[in-house]
Parts: sequence; C-alpha cells; structure tokens
Amino acid sequence: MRGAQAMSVPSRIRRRDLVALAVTVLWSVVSFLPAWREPELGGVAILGWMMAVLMVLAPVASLIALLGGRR
Amino acid sequence: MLVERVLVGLYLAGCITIGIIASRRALSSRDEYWVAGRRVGTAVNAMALMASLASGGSIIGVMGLAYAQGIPATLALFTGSVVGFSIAAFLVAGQLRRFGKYTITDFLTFRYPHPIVAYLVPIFIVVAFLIYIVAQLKAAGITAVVLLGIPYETALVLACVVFIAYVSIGGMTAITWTDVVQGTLMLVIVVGAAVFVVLREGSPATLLVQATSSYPELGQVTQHPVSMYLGNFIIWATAIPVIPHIVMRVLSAKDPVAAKLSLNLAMLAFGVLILTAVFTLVPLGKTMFPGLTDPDQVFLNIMAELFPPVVRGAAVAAVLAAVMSTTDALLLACSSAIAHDILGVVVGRMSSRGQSAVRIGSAWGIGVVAMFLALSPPDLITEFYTAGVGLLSASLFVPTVFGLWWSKANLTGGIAALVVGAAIYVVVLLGVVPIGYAPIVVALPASAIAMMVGGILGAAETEAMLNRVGALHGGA
Repeated sequence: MRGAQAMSVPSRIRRRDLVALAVTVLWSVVSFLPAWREPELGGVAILGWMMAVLMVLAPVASLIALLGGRR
Repeated sequence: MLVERVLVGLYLAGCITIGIIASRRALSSRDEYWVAGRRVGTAVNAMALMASLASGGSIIGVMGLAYAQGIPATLALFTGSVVGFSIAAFLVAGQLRRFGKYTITDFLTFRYPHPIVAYLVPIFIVVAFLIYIVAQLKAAGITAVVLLGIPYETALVLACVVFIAYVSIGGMTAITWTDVVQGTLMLVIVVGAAVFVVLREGSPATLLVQATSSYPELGQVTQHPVSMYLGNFIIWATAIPVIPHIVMRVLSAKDPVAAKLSLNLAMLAFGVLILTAVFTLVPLGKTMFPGLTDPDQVFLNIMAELFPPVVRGAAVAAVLAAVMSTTDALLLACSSAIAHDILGVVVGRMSSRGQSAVRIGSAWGIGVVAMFLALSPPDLITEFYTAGVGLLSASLFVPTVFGLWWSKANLTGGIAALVVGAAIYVVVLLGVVPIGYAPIVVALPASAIAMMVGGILGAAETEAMLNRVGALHGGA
C-alpha cells in the first residue's frame, strides 16, 4: 500500500512544484491558442513573444519552487 | 586565416589534454567513466548541462532555422527544451538520481524487466543519436569551410578524431570539464557578438523592426502547419526528461537537489543564449544577407563580415565547442547504449582492461560511422535532429514518467507504450499514413493510451516493485 500511495502525482509532488509545473504547462497551452497566431507586436506574432516569455518564465518558476521549498 | 587556425588548433589540443588527464580517473571504474563518480557540483553540472543541450544546432541551427522559418517557429522548438528541463526537474531528476545507476535503459529495464525493453531502448538510442551526431558534425564542417577556409571533409575528420579521442579515454569526467569550458565559450561569443551588434547597429527592437519590415515572414506564423510548431515544442518538452545524455548528467550530480538545481540553472543560461541569438543576430543577418542558399550559415557570415580574425577564431572555437559539447555527450550516451546496455552482461565478466577496451571501442565505432554518414549532410540541421529526438520522446517519455508516478504502470503497459509510441511516430514521420499532424502529436497520446490499456488489462505490478519505485521519490 505504501508503494501505491507513493506513486500518485498529487499525493507525492510538493505543492510548490505542482504550482510551478501548472503555471508552465498552462502558459504553454495558452501560447498555442489560435488567437495568437495572426496578431503581431514589433513585427513578430504574439505566439513568438509568448514563447520568448515562457523561455524565462519556466526556469524562474522552477527555481522559485525549488529554492522556496529548501528554505 | 592563420590566427583563426592557430586559435582552433590550441582549442582542440586543450580538449585532447583534458581527455588524457581525465583518463587516469575515468578508466578506473564504471562509476567514474559513465557518471564521473557521481560528485559533480551544481554550478559545474549546470554549465555542462547547458553545453550538452546547446549544440551546433543552438548556435548555427537556431539562427539558420529562424532565418529560414521565422522567429515563432524557432522559439516554439527551443522553448520546448526549456519546458522539458522544468518537467525533468519536477518529475524525474530526483527519482532517477536516487535510482543511482548509469543510463535511462537501466531504469526502464528495472521498471519493465523484459528483453524487448532491454534491447529496443538502446537500439532506439543508437539510431536517434546517430542522426543527432551527424547533424552536429555538419555544423562543425560548414563552420570550418566558411571561417577557416579548409575543406568540409578535412574539418569533419579532424573534429571527429579529437572528440572521439577525449570521450573514449576520458569518459564523463573529460566531458564535464570540456563542457564547462565549451559552455562558457559559447555564452561569451554569442552574447558578446550580440552586444557588439547592438552597440554598432542599434537596439534589438530597431534591428527587429528593420528586418520584419523588409522580410515580414521573419516574424510570422506562416511557414508550417501550426501542428508542426506544436509538434517540435512537444518533442523537446518530452525528450529532455528522458534523453540519455541529459539523464546521464542528472545521474552524475552529487545528490538529488543538485540534480534539480543544475537543471534549472542550465535552462536559464540556455534561454539567454537562444533569446540573444534570435532577437539580435538573426534580424541583423536577415537584413545583411537576405538570399542565403544555406540558412545555417547566417551566423558565420555575420562573424566573417563584422569581426576581426581573433574574434572569428574564437567564434569557430565556440561553434566547435557547441558541436563537441553535445556530440561528446551524445557519443558517450550512444557508447553506453552498446557497451553498457546491450553488451553489459558480457562486458561485466571481462577484466577491467577488457571493459575499458569495449568502452573505448564502442565510442570509436559509433564516431566513425557518424563521420561517414556526415559526408553527405542533411539540410537544416535543427529539423533533422529534432526528428531523431522525436523517436526517443515518443517511445521513452510515457514509460519513464508513468513508471515513476502511476501505480498501475506494469510490464504490459510499459512494453506497449514503448512499442506503440515508436511505431506510430515512425509510420507518421515517413508518411506511410498521411494524417496532417506532426508525428509526435499522434504518437505520444497513442503511447499514453497503450500504457493505460496495458496497465488496466495486464497483470498488476507486485507490491515489492511498487515499494522500490516509491522509495525513489524519497522526500520528493
């Protein structure tokens, strides 16, 4: 029973990690919505900007979760 | 081109020297050779991880891809890698580090003990990584042609001999040391070149507006069906947690926390590298060299046009560093798939000297095959090796993540997920069944469904196995 309980994501993953992972995945999903393909900002489609933000957001969210958890 | 050649010669000699120094330690045991004795600290591992991922594809290829297919398509592909690091840090890094073996095959054969898994996984790794290595070698070859003025074939042989030599004798220890040097060189050259360009030509915003005004396709989502953008993103997001050369870096970390932290720091450095290249150097390259027949040469043309010989020499060394830092890790992972995963039982019975000979021999074998394949290189290296990595993602991601986190994951489900994911990926990639979606978009869900069906219909996993897997989660 102990093993079975240990192997379920919600019961084992830390809350901070789950939040950071959810933010990253949610941003990824929203980035690929059709609405962001046509509009442009500075000559680049919003999809491109969303990806650029995600490239910084994902590691920062992970680091906050990891270092916050350690404290 | 004397200055450039001398600088590159010094760099290659330095790599060989590191390999020789590391060989004393590396050839002493399996732990030292495959995972550097499991004592690599956070900062060193982070830079080595970044260098392992930031390949020729990330310097030559990222700019070539953005030049040819636009910024959104390029960022979709490379941001997938960054998200993959996040997934790896949260879902597999700590657990695999606690597992404490050598390769991803070790984990999968522990979780799903069956000959199909034991042989199919290393075969997939060898196939996918051969493609990956060939793409890297093309980057080294064209760099030498453009900036050193030496023939493609000569550059190929030279680069191959050097990196095979230091990998085969120095193992993970040599790779770690060279990767730190190579990663630093890459960051300095790309970011330094971008700063120089900004000071000389104007801000990134100015460069971007200039380029997209004349070439609007640079910023548009027009080049591919959007499913291809999504497909490339998913391939890298799901490949990073299971791709063997990254997993071996996780296994070489000194502890689970260092493994997670180094993944996060590596992705920050990787993000800086990619964003700097895409938003500064690519717009300038598009404006300065609008009609390149080989888009992968845009960075090299910028360096040749704007910088003096010393910087060009350093740039060649940086591209070679990018190529070699990834290729050496790929070669070690590929070599481990043969010498450790497939021949492990036989090799285990050999003397220490015999084991070393097999490790060195398998590295040379793979390297030489890749070198011959690279004599006829593919177009657009990033797309080429992404297709190869997709095979690993489609076949290994679901068995690994479900195997760690789903209590119903069992032998039937693991084998089904592995085989179905790989088969569907290859069938769709080759166009046998034209469905209009990127192969990974179909293969990954199919792999997950196969796992769930197998998990529900197959024999339940033993309590002992569940407890052993549960123990890998430690304090999570």
